[in-house]
Amino acid sequence: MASMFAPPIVFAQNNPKLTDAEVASVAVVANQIDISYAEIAKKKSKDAEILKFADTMINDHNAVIGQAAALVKKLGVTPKDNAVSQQLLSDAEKTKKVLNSKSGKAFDKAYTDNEVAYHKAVIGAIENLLIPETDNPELKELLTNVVPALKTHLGHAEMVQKMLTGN
Amino acid sequence: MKNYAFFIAAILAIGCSSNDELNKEEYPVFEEKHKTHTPDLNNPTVNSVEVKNSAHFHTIEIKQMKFLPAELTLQSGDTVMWINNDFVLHDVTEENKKRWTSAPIATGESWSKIVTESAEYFCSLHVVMKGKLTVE
Ligand SMILES: [Cu+2]
Repeated sequence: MASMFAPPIVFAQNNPKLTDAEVASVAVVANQIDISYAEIAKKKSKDAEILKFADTMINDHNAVIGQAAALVKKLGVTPKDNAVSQQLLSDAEKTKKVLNSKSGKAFDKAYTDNEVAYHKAVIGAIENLLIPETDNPELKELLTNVVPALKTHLGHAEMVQKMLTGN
Repeated sequence: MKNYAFFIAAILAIGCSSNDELNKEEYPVFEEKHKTHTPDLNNPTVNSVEVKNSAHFHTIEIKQMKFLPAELTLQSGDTVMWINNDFVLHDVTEENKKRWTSAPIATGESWSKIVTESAEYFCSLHVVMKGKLTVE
């Protein structure tokens, strides 16, 4: 299903040791990427459920970035670019090209399928890589608190996915 | 934030005492944002009324993408206050016919409603978030 997209499982493949500053960068980038997908959806989709979902993605992922920004400021940490952030961004560029090449129902399906795959990948990465690698307890707590929101987004995306195939 | 919300919940419980004498049938859709509420803290009868009213005042916390408690049994005319202690916007919307909605509730804010009939509700921003009110 997600074969047309670069699978965003780079975290697990490389399994690098990340510093807290790098974990913060990965967290911010991962949220920015989903916002950028939602912005494409807002331009290209006419489906009311997808437009609502995209609005929620923009609001919620911005809220996560706001929390991360407040925390790194408090901790005096500067998010540090790293191989995982860069790989995420380059994969996202490929996905955005695929999304931008589609329209109508094909776009709606591609966007929704990608949201399901992306949220699954990010949840896995946070639980299995970022949380275990984070030393700072507050950063760990922030990451832990984000997971329920991501799981809710996944459930929502899967619902939209079912709705689309039912049409 | 959390403490603030519960402080407000307590204030509203006191403030609602002034509605105790009202005929609720005439005000079936009475609802309000707590922020506009000005309780009369000088009213000497506040304490006794507060106790009397507390059985008819319920709070539901919204946290970690859940309504807590998700299911609530209450009596017709009871007030329910939803408090958003999550870090994202949520709303409270009647699910089947969209008969009522809170509109988005920001972090640390709340919304109250006098409930006169059972309802299944959800968050229209996160459609898998659901709750249920059962009027006995
Ligand atoms: Cu919600």
